[in-house]
Amino acid sequence: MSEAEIDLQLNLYLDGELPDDQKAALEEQLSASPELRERMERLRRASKELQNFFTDSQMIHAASETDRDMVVERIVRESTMEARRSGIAGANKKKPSYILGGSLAIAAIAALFLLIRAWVTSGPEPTQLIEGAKRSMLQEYMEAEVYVPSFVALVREFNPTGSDIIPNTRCRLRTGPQGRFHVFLTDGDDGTPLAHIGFDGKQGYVWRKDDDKAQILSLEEVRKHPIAAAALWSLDSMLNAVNEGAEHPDALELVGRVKDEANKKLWKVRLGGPKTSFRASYWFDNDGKLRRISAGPVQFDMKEGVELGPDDFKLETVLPGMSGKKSSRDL
Amino acid sequence: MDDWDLLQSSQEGGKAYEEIVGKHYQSAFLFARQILGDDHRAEDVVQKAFVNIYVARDRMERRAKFRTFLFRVVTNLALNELKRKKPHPSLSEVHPDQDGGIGSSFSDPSTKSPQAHLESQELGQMIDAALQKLPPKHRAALYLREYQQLTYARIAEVLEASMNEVKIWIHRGRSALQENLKPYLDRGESIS
Repeated sequence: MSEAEIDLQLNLYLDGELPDDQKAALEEQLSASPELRERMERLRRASKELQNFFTDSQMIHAASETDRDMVVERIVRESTMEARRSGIAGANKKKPSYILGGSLAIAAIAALFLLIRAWVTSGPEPTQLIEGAKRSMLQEYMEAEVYVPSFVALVREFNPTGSDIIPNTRCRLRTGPQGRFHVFLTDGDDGTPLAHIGFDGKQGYVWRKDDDKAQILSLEEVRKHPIAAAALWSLDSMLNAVNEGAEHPDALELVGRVKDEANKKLWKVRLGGPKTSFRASYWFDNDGKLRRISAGPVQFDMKEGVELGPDDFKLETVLPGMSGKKSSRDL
Repeated sequence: MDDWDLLQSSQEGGKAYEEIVGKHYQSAFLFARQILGDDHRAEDVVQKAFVNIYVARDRMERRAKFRTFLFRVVTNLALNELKRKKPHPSLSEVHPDQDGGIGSSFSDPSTKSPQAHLESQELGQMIDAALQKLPPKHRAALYLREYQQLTYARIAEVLEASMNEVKIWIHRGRSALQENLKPYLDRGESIS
């Protein structure tokens, strides 16, 4: 037996994986050979040290109860969102038979014909548009211009003592998977950057005009930042508006074609009436894509054709050359 | 009700699903960390594993225990992650501001003399270095055996490997470790 084969046998013996007949033979050899016993002992010690190493590293890297609760909550939320996205995209993957497939194809063509005719004669069906809106809002990545008549007033809701946000502020919000978001505030008059607040999936950051370094924060801390809280509250309002529309199709009304600021014709749908206390409006382009949504004091203009990825939420991307510092400074 | 029942009965991420995630997250994270050597990437991989399982829960067959299945999904995602990205830094490089990564906190320093504590740190770093040199599947097999105390058959199931491969991986992993720990093993004393 080669040295390597002997070592392999010793490993199997140590782990209780050696068949009984070979075990008895090895035990005989062990009792007869001090050298083999020494090899066995070294192997046992190495194994023990490794176990201690793993145990210690587990203790060091085990998450605290609070961290774990947050992670569990995040995973459950992401799972639910992903399941919804899959469901919306048509999760039923069963292949129909050819006959059934043919029938379905004919039915689909007929339905498409009726849909086009209905569209041409009376405009799109609001409930279908709202389903499209849901898809837009639940995309993996999303970007929107957020308009609030007075963003500063909204921010002050979350930060009553704050006074350094100028009144005419523009806000762009990006969101992505795993809690990623980025809020970019600019001066509505001259476009001067005023603040970057975000979370890149690993760390949060806050930079405000005149800061020489960005503050590095946890997800929990950065979400509590008044500007982030205001923007994320706005996002929740929009999600609610879409969900409410989807849940009350009989409260939807197609207002008709309207022109936006760029003279582009959009279909407008309104949510209202006695069936719901919620009031919202949605605008769609000719392809049925959500272009704008408004509810209460908030309006989102959805950006089209942006291709975002995880890097677009990182501090080094949004503020090239800016370093971060961990700080407990008052937000 | 076992974990599979809980998973399949969970609707819209309700309490049942939360219970499963809470129960298995920590061990799955620590397992992924052994393969990837990086906390952030391990977190991402484990989250993705849970999301994938949740989305496909209605189509899954119960061929293994839930935990074994979860670890298998984590293994595949972690190995893909390693293929996709550059090799990770060693664990001791992850927190350069701490004096020496996990090795620096190896075992409770309060129970040791300063000399023993220093040796313990050094030993932790040596084990860490030896592990990082191993291929990811060898590292995963050693972790499943030494820490999770799984049998070779279960390890083979988790890593989707043959029994012979598992035997060789564990054997080679321990041999490499013994080589790195030679000064300690020659001394014939245990530090921990």
